[in-house]
Amino acid sequence: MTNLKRPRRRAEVILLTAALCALLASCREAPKAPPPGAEQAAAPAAQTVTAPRTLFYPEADDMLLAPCPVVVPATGSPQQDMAALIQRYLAGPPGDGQVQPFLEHSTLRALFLVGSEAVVDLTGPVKSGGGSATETARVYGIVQTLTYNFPDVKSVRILVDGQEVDTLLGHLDLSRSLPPEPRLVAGSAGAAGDAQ
Amino acid sequence: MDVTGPQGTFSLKDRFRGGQTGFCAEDLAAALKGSLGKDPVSHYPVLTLRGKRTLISTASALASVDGKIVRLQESPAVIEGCLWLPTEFLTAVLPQILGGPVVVRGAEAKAPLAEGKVPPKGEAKPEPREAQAPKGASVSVEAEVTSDSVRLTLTGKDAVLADVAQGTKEIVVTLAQGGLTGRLQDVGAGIVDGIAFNQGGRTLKAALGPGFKRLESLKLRGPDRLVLLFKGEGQRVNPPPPENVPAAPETADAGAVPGGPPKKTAAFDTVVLDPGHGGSDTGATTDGGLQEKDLTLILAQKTAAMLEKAGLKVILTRSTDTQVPLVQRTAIANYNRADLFLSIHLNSSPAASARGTETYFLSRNATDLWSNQLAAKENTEGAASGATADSGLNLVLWEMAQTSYIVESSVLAETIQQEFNTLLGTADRGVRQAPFVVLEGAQMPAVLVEVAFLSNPDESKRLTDSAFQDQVAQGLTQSILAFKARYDKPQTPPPAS
Repeated sequence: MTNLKRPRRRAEVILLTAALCALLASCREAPKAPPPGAEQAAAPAAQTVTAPRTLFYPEADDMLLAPCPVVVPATGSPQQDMAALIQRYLAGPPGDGQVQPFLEHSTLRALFLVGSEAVVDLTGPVKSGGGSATETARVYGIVQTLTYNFPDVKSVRILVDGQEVDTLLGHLDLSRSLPPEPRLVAGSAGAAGDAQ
Repeated sequence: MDVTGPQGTFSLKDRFRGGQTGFCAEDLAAALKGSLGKDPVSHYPVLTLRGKRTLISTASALASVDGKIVRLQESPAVIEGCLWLPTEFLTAVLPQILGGPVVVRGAEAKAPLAEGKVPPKGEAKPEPREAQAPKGASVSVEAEVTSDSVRLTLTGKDAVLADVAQGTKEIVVTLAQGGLTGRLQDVGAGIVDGIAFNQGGRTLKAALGPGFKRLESLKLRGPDRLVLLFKGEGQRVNPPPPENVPAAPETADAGAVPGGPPKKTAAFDTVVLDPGHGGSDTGATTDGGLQEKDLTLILAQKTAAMLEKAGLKVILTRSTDTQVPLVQRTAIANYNRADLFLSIHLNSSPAASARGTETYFLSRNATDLWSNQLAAKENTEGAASGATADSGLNLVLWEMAQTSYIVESSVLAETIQQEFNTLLGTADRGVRQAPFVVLEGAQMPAVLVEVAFLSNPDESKRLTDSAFQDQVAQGLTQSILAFKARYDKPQTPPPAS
């Protein structure tokens, strides 16, 4: 029985890995062609500590969230690192495979932690432009990004201009803290549109 | 008014609400150097005085002092930026905070009602303190039987406050105020073998049958009611006698019809359609001037006409270009005891290529988290007050109502997706889950369908085509009728044994 299953499992693992690679490849930042060795040479002088992180942006067609690897500054303070990550998120996806759910000039006003809850205070045109797909991508893009990169964060509450809001675009309930929703992540079990 | 207690005397400015004397919680916090904040889970106001935390419900006449529930005769309310509390708060709640009696002068203080303790399972049932309730404060009683539960609904003009005592053979409901009215049909046997109460009395007894498993209770608003759900293995029912069902109101305004909610048969016969957005909330828009709110109204009206032809009563949450608050939309469905709630929307994406239909039902992940937070909180409060964790009186937030219908809602969502695939040939984006406000309070299967993308040039063009709109309405009608057929099936009474 085990021997019969093994090739199938291997095939599943290969397929899954290939799918993940494809997802990651689709949003990788375009190389800016620095001279060979320049990054290594510049790093000690800048004294900047960085950490690899994963951002989750919606894919253009199905609007499911797909991972995009990035490198962002790391300070050692979870709160500051989370803020840096969300600021990077609001700048938009690095590649072409995903779309930016936020409108230009949407920015992070503040981010703080309350136990296992991250409170993200946004400002700018975050309450305009789009339908439920856009709203879901905005909210769960941030929820998924924070909970994935910082496992101690179990849920995220979104504020706008320092105030609690019922909803961004008239659909999602933002009056409470939101846990991640794996079904909205591409390639996860039970994601909409996946072959069962 | 002047308030004298263990800490001395201080003054509070009188505030009136509907002829009732009260005061602002902010003033009390300032007088006693306390603070007023918000509970992170329930979002109810929290008054912290002398290190003691009082959770104040603005949805019902309840307060919780360090987990101990105290009933008030009047509900606290937010009025003009002030959290209004009735004067009786000072005599019913404040002594527990200050550790001594409190006297109020210069205002009419009312005596507090009994504390909301629930006797543990098996304990003797409480006796009503009055044989008859005051006139004019009636609470209507209705029972509805489904294949696996008996739903008992107590509807009042104001919040229905009651002790629910669960024994081994019966459940006794004792109203804090008001008298019971109504005439119940035979509820059958199995889960509940009988329900009895005296007209105008305050005590109702439900005899538990061998099929009874557990009791769930919900406090709902719009109108205020207490719903007791007796869950079990199955209830045997006799076919109900023919009954004239009053016509359903035509518009959302029907939610304000005086005299209580419309009567309801056990059959699937009422649908509430919710055209998304409206008024100043345009929803998604296009550069060409299309607005989601206009198209959803057209689709809802066309669907309503087809459903009515099929013999169903249809209620629209809005029939004109008006803004209806999200929570009011489901309240309309609850008030009219709809069998199904369908919110119709059009999607929009930053990617113009995004296209197709997707149907949402409420996210279980989110509701599970909220349930756990609430349960943990209630258990803590229950332990502090001496109440058992499985007591019949669970202060379940009404927003959580949809959790009982998640399975049916997922079936409805799948039905809609299948129908759209076959009839319309739109791209199938599948069934999805998210915590949508408009679905949370629904006391029936409820879904939100995103028919197509207004941001997609092709789909946007189709959405303005009357023939395509008819097709969409046809798809939604077929989905609802298919769901009704499935729903009606288990309602058929089993053959007499």
